[in-house]
Amino acid sequence: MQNDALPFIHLFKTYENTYVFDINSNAIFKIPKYVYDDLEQYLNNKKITFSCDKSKEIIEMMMTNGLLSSHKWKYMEHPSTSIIPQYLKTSVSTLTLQVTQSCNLVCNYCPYAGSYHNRKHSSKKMSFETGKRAIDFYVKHAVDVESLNIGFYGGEPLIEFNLVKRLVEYANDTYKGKKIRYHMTTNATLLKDEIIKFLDDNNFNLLISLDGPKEIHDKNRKDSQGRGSFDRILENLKYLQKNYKDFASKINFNCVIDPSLDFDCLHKFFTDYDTVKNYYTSFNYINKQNIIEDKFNPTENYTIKYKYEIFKLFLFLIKRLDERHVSKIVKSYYSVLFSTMKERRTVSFSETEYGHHSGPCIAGSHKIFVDTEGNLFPCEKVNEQSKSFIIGNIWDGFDVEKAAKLTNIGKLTEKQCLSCWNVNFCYLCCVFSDDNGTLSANAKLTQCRNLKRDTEEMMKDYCYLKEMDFTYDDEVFRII
Amino acid sequence: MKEAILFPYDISNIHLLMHQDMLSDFRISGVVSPNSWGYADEDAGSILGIDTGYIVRSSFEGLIDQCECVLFCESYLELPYESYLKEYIEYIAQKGKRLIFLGEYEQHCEEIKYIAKRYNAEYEFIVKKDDKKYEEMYCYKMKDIPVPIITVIGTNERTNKFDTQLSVGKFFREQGYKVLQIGTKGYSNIFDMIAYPKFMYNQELSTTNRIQQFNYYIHSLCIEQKPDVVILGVPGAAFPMDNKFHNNFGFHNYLVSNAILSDYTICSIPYEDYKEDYFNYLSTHIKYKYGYNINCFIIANQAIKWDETDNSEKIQYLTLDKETMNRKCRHYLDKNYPVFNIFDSKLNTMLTHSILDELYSNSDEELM
Repeated sequence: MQNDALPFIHLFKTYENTYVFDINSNAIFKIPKYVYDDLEQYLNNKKITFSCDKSKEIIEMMMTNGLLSSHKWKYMEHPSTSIIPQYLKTSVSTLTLQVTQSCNLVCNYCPYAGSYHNRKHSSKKMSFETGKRAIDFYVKHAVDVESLNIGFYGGEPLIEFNLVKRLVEYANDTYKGKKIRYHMTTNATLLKDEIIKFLDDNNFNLLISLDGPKEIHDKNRKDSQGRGSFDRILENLKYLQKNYKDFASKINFNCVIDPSLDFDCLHKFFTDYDTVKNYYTSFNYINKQNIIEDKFNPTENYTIKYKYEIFKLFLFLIKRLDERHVSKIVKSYYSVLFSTMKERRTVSFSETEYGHHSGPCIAGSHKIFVDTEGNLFPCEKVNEQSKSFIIGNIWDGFDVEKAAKLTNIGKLTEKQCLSCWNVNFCYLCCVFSDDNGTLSANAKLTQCRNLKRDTEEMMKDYCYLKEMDFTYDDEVFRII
Repeated sequence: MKEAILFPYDISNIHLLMHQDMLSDFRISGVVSPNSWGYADEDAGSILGIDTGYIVRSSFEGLIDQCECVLFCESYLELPYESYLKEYIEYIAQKGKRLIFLGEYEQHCEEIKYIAKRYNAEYEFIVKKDDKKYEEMYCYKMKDIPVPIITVIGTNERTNKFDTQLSVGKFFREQGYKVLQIGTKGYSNIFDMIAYPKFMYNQELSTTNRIQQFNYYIHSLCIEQKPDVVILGVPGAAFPMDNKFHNNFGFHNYLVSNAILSDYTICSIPYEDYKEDYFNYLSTHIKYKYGYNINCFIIANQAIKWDETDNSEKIQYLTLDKETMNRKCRHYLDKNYPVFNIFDSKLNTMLTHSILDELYSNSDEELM
């Protein structure tokens, strides 16, 4: 059988077994080695030969059941494109206000601190009128949203505490009848009693940036005089924990991992250190996109230790190790694995004419980020110094076409994406297409190789755990 | 006719404005919504692209003195009782206006009564209740209903079933037919309907008894009132949405479909980018699950936000405007799928005429 319309599949192996990922149905099947070999030959030679009758029987049965289809989207379009105007009209979930572009720290890897080509700190700050107008704009566009979510972002937002306070008071006084949730991302160096009391009174959730113990944190998170910020943060945290016990429970930490530093030290700090050990911490790696000088490559030592911790995580999952031996740093990998491979991987036999790779949210609906001037952006992760990412402003409203363009970022790389086996697991949104302020196909495509490798590793890990009789459960790590 | 203010307004109760002519006791003189809900200072139908002629206010100031009562309605958005609603109930009671509660206010019933009495204000709770006359009456042998029945079902919550019931009911009344209408809302009786009876929710009654009693109830109403047509709304959704949102497994559709035979069935569905074969699939699925033959579909003004729903304990919805719904309906109508939009007068007319045609054609085949 000769066929140019080859099955749209991806083959992979674990140590003991062979698998096929059927892209159209999103299903993963364990297949015998001889079927794997025949399918691999089919893909390579565009001609199928069956090594045995059983292989023929299995492959034909799969095809009869709608699998191994060669169907591909004809073009790329986000499924919600036609209703983006409605999303922007009634369904903006979160407002994030950039109250200032200033910061009292100059962290090595901060996008605003001169380490990147595209973003820099400045002395710009938001006026009360702009903030007020942004809140009014948000409420009008959040008719379908159950509670209002307002975030404060910088630079360091607490530099403008008085503005934050006035805006919170304005929102509380003006917009009664719908719950308002406030949140703030802060370096915590400016937390003092008056501020903590205000944040507590208004039920703020705080995300505090903390990179590890003093020697790690202070390497990157410094003030303009080169002094580390660790001691100030810890002092403030201890005060907060002692005097505002309930509020302390609303704190989360964000740790930006510098993999050129010591893994054990980091692990020990977040596991044992009293002030931080009982908090939820998210661990992220330094963003390398548009970075001027990449000094943050992982050391061999870091990589080996990280992989060993993943190995221990797997031992725990298959009940060969107690949970207390599993590092907090790698536990989130299970959540990602569970969510990507189990929860969000819906198996379906519906073949559509068009679609879009996963990754982009509906720009402006999930969140609006309002810069100091009142311009609207899809989130705080995009480069707000680039016009490409502006999707309107609080005075004239949304630029629906721009929002649709950012939502349909797959169009930028349509040719490659239409035949990519990783479309259902991709996470590239417009943030990853930024090349010094312009949307670039090349910038986006440079991520693809690593992304596909990561997805395949996740598929292998998922199947390997299944081979070991592990049952995926959303409550495995209830205690995190 | 009492002059009434509608509060707290959101798009879920636009039918109280659009079908005001069916309200026998009230005339809506104003619409009030909390400022935080985002409706204030615009037409009440603005997000649907409909002109109702009512500008939503964020306070009662300037309105309250000219009204006789306030209709506290149900809403998609929840209004906190202690921190918000209670204050308004007190304010209105203090002004000496009648407090009328439509639907789900029973949990605060005692406190509301206490507030009303304190200010000597009149109050009323309009909720689903049983007609004493038919209490616990049923017949072992199921009865044939001697009148054609139009049934309105929905695959999910928030599919505009009640708006559909009102539109269809209005059409038949305007055509001069005598209509017996069982409405899905607890306050259906303010619209010249009977609310879906309370015994259908009574867990002390067996499923079998509820089916028999409903059959007897509809039959008795038909004998007594001699309507030309019955329009019956079925509460809740027809089946689970997924593993997390099970929609009570379509329980009321099970009860109703066993109690009566539907002559014309309207199925309301959320707004979605459906492939054409979905309508055939859905019709077959409902046919074999409940025995209903689906005659047409209504596209609702609500779409499910799937990504947000995945991360939430509740289904999250997006409101669509009339033109977007119309485009979708026309796309399917062009391919001969009977899909309508209840908020568009042209498509609504097409729907009601299709019902009439079907019922006329059925009348040629009268079983004697």
